[in-house]
Amino acid sequence: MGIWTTNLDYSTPAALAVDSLRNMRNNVRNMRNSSVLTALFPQVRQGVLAATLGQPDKWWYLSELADRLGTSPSSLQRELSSLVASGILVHRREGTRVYFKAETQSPVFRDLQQLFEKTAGLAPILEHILKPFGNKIQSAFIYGSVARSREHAMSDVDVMVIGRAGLADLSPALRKAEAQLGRDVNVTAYAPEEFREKIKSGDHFLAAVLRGRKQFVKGGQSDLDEIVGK
Amino acid sequence: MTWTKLLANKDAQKHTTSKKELDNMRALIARDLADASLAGLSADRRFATAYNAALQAANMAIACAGYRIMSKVGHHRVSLESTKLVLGKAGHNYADYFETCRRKRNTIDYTFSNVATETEAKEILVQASRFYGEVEDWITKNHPSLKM
Repeated sequence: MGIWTTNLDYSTPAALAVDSLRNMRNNVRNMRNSSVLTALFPQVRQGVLAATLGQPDKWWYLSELADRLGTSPSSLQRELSSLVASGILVHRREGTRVYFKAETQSPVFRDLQQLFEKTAGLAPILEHILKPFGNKIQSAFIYGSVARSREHAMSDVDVMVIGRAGLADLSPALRKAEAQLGRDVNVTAYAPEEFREKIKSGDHFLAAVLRGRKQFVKGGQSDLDEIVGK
Repeated sequence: MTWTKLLANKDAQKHTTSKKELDNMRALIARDLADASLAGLSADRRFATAYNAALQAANMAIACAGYRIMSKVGHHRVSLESTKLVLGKAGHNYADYFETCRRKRNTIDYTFSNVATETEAKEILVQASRFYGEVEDWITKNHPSLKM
């Protein structure tokens, strides 16, 4: 069945609402699974944009960026020049070194950043690494400064994982995610019963986390509510 | 990471261990694993104590391989990472796991309280015990004169 076809009866507003939500969800899933970025940008440019837009306050030294992307500095130079000339990146010189960063004042900065967040950003990478754990993870979300979009260039990523997957299970995958993201990912793991118990006993830390902004990478608010017993 | 690089960077030095030195480390590990099981302690303290047992187990393996990690900034990370060199493939997942634990333990000891969850404190006790068992098995197989 194509993503635009449906068996739903359009005669009721509820059916229309459900169908609209399903289409939106399918579109997002389709965008993540398909090579949207590959269709839009050559591979090296994708890598440069994913790194610079993902950490927009960070100044990247050429060889550092090349190392992150697993390529040679010389292969980046043309892309970087082009992106600087178009106003998407800015550069500055310090002695013989040239540094690059995203031009956050560019009129297309936020649009581009959102495109990369949806396709190659933090949440998609974490979703991808947590996927193999299946039902061992009931809910997982990013919280803290990154979830609030108040992170600094090198902010750690705080992730809460609720389920049967422990830190021992998760750690090898986390190291891979850290290599891709270029920043530390700190996980706090709870078994569902401990999470529920702490919420019921009014744990201050968890209460603050639940009140704050969250970016779900496994499940959603309804799964979290279910764990808590709402 | 290789021993040659670690030696060159003065992260490690050559070292000849003894049964006596290893037995002292064994006693320390036994104490920490027992303390990490005490229900009266906070999850943070149990977590940090079990972590210490795992670190000492890593140092035992490194000592048997003929090295000692130098006491300087980052030496816990180097010790844990070096278990990959000593134990081979079997050491990789443990090194990744205890690296996660090292960061959490740093936060526990120097920055915040109530960091480790009960789930995590119970898990590290199991993993540290298991890791120590693997190190003893490796010593028995590769350095029988130093076995328990």
